[in-house]
Amino acid sequence: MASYLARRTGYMVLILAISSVVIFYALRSAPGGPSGGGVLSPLSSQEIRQAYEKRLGLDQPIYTQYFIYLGHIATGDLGTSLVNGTPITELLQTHARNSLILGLTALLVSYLIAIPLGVLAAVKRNTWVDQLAMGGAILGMGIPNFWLALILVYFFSLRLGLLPSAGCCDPPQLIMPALVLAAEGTAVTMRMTRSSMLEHLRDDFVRALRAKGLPEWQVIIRHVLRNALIPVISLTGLRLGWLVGYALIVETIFRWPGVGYLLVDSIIRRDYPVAQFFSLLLILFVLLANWFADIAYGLANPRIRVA
Amino acid sequence: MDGASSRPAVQGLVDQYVGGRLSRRQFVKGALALGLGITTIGGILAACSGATNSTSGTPKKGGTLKEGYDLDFSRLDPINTNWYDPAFYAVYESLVTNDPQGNYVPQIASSWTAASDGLSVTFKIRSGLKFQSGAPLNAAAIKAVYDGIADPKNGSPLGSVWVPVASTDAPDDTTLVIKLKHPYFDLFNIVKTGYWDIINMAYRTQLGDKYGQQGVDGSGPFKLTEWVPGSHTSVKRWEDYPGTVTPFIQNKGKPYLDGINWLTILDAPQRAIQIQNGEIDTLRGPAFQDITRLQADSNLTVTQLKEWSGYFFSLNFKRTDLGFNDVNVRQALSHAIDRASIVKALLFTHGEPLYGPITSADKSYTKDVEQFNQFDVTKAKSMLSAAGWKAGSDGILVKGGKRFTFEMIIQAESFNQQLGSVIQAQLKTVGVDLKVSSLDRGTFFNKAFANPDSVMFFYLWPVPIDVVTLFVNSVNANGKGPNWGNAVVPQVDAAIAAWQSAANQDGLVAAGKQFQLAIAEQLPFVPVINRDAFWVNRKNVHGWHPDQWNLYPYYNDVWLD
Repeated sequence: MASYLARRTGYMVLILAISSVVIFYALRSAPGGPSGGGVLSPLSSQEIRQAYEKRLGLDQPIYTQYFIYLGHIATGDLGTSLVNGTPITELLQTHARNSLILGLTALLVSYLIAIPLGVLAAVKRNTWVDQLAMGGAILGMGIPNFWLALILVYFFSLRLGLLPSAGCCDPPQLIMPALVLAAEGTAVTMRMTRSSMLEHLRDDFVRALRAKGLPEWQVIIRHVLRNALIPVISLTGLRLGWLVGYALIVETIFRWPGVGYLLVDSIIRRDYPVAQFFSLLLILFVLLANWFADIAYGLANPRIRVA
Repeated sequence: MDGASSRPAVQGLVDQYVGGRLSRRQFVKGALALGLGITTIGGILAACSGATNSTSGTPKKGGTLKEGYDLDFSRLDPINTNWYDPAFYAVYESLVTNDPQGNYVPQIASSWTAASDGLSVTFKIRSGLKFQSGAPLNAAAIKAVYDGIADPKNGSPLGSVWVPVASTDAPDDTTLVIKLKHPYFDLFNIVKTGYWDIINMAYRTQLGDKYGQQGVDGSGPFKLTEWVPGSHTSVKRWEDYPGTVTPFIQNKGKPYLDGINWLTILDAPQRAIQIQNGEIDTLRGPAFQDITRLQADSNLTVTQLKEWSGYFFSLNFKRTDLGFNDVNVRQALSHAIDRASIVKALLFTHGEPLYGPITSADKSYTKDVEQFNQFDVTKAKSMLSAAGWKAGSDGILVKGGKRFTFEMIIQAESFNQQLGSVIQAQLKTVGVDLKVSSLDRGTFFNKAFANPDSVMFFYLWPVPIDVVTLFVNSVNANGKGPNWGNAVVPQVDAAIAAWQSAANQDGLVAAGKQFQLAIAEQLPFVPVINRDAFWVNRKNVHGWHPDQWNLYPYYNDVWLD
């Protein structure tokens, strides 16, 4: 197990190192630069722009800049935003917290909706309940989240005036972004719960439990669902990766100041320190989620460890 | 006074009435003075009923105003900002400002006198003023700001409009003398703007590039608490604000509001949703397609003003292969633009075609520019043909094997993209293949200085001729400033010199006319359209009065119930 753990960790570190180089080069190779990102007046002369970028060390070769950057990271200096001068550690606290609130709420909403409906659809297989739930799941997977966001804003904000259309961080402002972020995951989880339930409902142990006279709800909830949830839980690792990707869109649409919103904004403004740090953070997050999933698989199934 | 010329005056009167700055009696007197009949006046009053932004009632202290803003926030450094935002009107003050009628009125200066030879202006500075940090705000502090603007190492992009100033002297704490190289009647138009707001230069030097990001030190009624571009700017009441002497501001003491929170809302349709939904109290710049809906909402008041702005595109004079250095080619492309249809289709008629560089609402505007740049496809084709361009097999013009194709860069924003597409389609009708590149802001301004074929740009400035001089002055060509088309037009340079040496109002008007005609004819850039400014407030907001002469409202009088 120790060598398996070391191998997975080594892969993770390697991917992170390669990503940091790619991100660093990609940002600096993209057209434009921080002088056009809002720090200087758009009317400033070329001379002033060049002087500003020189002060930031951007006139040096990219590999030199990269090693300087690594040196700063090694000493714990994450840098500051070029656009508003805020230390990245401070940005991390506020934006990561906001993203965490949104992401966890979306996950919670997703499971609270998906698991009961998935169970119900399996138990009432081929009835209108099943068809309605699966129809909803197909819609959830098919509707692009930016479109769903617009529809929700139109009805709940503009027509009904019930929810704020954007912003942070009151509970009502969380509802629509969380629903949009949860939509696709809910659909996928619902379908997986249903199919997993159907698989286990045919197992011999279920027949035995029923023969023993156990009430049907106990058979379903205590025994079948517990077994059926194993693949659903495994899916959580993957879903964390999806959440990170979708958060870039959802946070931008709803102006929810999380990591995704900050990352998109920093790339547009060529705020290099912020863009590279938060890109790496998201990659690290996805890698960690997969690392935990790998370790969990390894613990559950020794054959995977050997392979 | 004929109908056309009295229209802006009537509009101004209506705006002031709707804005609550004129009583009903004052409005009627003003309208009669403009020659309007009683029936007409009655009709206007009926139309305005229910739309006034009331100042009546007893002001209540407290609350935070939430204001939606259609642009991104600029660094709060007057000397080197993108453009100045509403927060400038809260945290800073200038020597003078404009009242709602366009007159210069005191702010930091209490009075001023111009020398009879026109070579100096002496300002009397209010005594005992301080910056928010407690540092003294006296004549020496103001001199430091003006010297900072003049110093090229501070990078003020507006240095070229300060060239007529020889020096600034501060003989004592309350006397500031601006000495001029030659008469410069336009001086007040310059110092009243946010770019000449008074800041504590010592603090700016101390913070370096972080001034305007992490902190500011001004003398306005509010102190900066947070500046987050792309999201919000927040201020809180400055409890030691000494009050104002500006006559049209009714509240002479500390502001009523606890604070103001401006939210940048770049998604155009969302602005209207947020104010209708009560998420914000006031709004600048709703999308044009939402105006009618907002006007029909009984919870809202919509104020429409002319805006000191314009959309234009440059044609790089260095593209001699395309003939952009030939005035006939530039005029031909301009004749291919149907400005009236753009105003109708994209602005929903809330704007006007620009045949010259500035809006018809400006007092310097001359209608003579309208003889140029009229939509005439036949003339455009004929001029291009005379320049040697012939239609190729696919309809695109060709000359000596060279296709008439070029790239226009625009800043990625929905209206810019729509306008770029329309210009592209209209130029296609005369055989010109325009490629529109929509760039994010980090790329756009860097590329604008990298010799692009064409740049589409939107300017916003309370005295538009001054800002337009920056885009066309030959000293700002070749990367030295925002003359992105590298236009070198002697007639335009001569007109700028005349504008910057006008000794009196008549001289300024004459130079302004010369300048507009030179641009309309010579086209160092191609003017396209100008949009109207729209402001919206919910009925619980009082004392909030956007006006024609200031880019943003002052917040001293604003209170919420």
